Amino acid sequence: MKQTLLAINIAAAFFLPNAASAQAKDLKIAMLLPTSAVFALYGEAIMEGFNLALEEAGGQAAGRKVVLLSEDNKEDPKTSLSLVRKYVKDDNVDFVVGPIASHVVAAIRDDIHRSKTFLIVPNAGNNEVTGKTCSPYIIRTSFSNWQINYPMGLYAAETLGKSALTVGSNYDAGREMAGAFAQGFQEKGGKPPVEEWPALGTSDFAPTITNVRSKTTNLETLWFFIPGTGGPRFVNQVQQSGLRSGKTKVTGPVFMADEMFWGAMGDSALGVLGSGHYVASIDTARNNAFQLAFRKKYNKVAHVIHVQGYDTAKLILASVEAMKGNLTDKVAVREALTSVQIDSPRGRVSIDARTGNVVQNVYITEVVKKADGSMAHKVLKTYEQVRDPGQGCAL
Amino acid sequence: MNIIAEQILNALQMGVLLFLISSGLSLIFGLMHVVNLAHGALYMAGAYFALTAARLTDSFFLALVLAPLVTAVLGAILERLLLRRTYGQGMHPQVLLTFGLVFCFDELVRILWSSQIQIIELPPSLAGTLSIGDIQVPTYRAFVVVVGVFVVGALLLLFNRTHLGAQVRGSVDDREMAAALGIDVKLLFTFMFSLGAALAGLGGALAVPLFTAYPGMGSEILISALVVVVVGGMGSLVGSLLASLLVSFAIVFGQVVLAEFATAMIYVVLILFMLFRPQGLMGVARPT
Repeated sequence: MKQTLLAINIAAAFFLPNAASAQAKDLKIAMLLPTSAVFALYGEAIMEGFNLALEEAGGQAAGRKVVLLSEDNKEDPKTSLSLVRKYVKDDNVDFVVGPIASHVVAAIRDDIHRSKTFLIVPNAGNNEVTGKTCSPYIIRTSFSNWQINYPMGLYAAETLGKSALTVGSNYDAGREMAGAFAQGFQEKGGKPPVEEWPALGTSDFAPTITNVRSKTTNLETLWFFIPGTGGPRFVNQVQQSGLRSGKTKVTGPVFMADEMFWGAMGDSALGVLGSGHYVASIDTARNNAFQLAFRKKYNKVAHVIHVQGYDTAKLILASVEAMKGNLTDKVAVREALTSVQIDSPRGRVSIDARTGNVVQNVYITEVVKKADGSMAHKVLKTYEQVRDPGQGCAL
Repeated sequence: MNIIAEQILNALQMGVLLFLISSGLSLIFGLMHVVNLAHGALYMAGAYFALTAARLTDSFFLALVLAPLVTAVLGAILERLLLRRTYGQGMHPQVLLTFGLVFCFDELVRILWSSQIQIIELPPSLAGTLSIGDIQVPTYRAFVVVVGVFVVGALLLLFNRTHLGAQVRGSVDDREMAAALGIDVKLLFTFMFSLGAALAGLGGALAVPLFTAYPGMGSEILISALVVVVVGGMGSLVGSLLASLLVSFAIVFGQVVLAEFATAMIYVVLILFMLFRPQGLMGVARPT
């Protein structure tokens, strides 16, 4: 009996294809994203963009098949940390993609750095990610809070007027974004903006709006950043309060009034100015082709978060191709990541070799209504290749 | 001075909206002693029913009438099928059940209406501002106050001046005796729960143009509503109204004085009451 079994096994070994040696090792990418609670929308959007790029590349790079590992990180620091440890130690992933929020990056940063695992951040915008806590293993393909708000300050002081008021949610991202706006604003001769800092999680902005009314009579620019559901709420309540009846322009980073929130704002969104790195209305052949492909796969319009996911995949795939699939030399991988060209729907995009942050165009846009009644963005001005200075980065 | 007056008006309308949202919970928690953590979920259900009703009928006012009615029916079904089994078993089964309902509702909403944040556009009659003296008040907020005052009046009338109200109060005080007198306590409780659900639904529907509709909106207001019911005194509608106003004034003037901590003010009020007057504003001090 035993001898027959042995004979069969030897025969099988000769005749059955040996899968392990015939193909290259799988390219393992861990997706550290949320599928539940507040940030689920963002996690979902990153995955959709990412998957589209994977599909376009045939699910492989340099002959290595892409395998995605994903588990709901709930956008929670503790959960994310244990997931990262598992991915690094047990699964030996080649890349980690994520997270959405900056406070989660802060939680996993040291483990990522120590384990020399490449983290590609597709969203979290806090300046420190590629600033004070930068690392050779951290690359960001989305934006930095400074990068997308500084140009709006320049634009507002040059075009709208020298007086402004900023309403920022009182937490680190709010302070960074408002600070960047104020910096650009004053550089072009604007007066130091009056500041309002409503607490994070405020749902009724009536007291804030009353404060705004009391502090300025001749307001030219009202800049605001309130994350998540608060943004559309604020715009609606401002609209209802009659504050916009004068020549006050409402402005903010582009996600305050973009495709994701139009359903929540209706006509209140019209005339809101935004500064950001992507809008669906960018009229280039590349973007139009991308929107078409996205619509064909998902039957909806792609917005900035989708593009961030898409470009992240493109960056990883291009770098792996450049390294011919061999990722053992970490220094060379870093060099590949910061030197490959990505054909992005947002325009020309590259990764800063020092800080690891994306270098990209920032567009000043206005929400308008098209002839057919649908909403779109009109690009008013483009600030080319804005580079975050990476303040505090020791690299 | 105008600014102070405007902030006072802000606090008043915030208080009335908070009362509207909490009145359903006050009814159920306070009068029936049922821990209904699903109150937030019913509020959310009302918001989404209003969303759909507004889309189907193209009328915001019609949506405001339909949403609470549908939510009331939903409440009745929940009470009959699920909640009834937990009566007399203490708090834990009720907490578990209603908390579980919150999760179910959140996912159902995500599946049926998507996770996108949505809104109802106000009809032109409600979209502008009113001038009260020198102050600009958004017309919609004034409308909410009017609805709130009307609801307060109707509820007080119902419970203090009608036969039905007397039956409810009797059943809450002494269930066995009321049943012995021929009052159908079971039906009454279903009615009460539906009424509470309708009020939650109305609150949700009214909140959509101000705060938008999104999955998870229920959990946000649940805490505020619970605080109001506890601070106001369990079982007292007038207490809930006063507590809503108190909390709103604390939040609004917190925003003016200490903007960074404004959202914590509601908890400061709660803690102060727990320390110094645990029975709430209008509650009766119970011997332990």
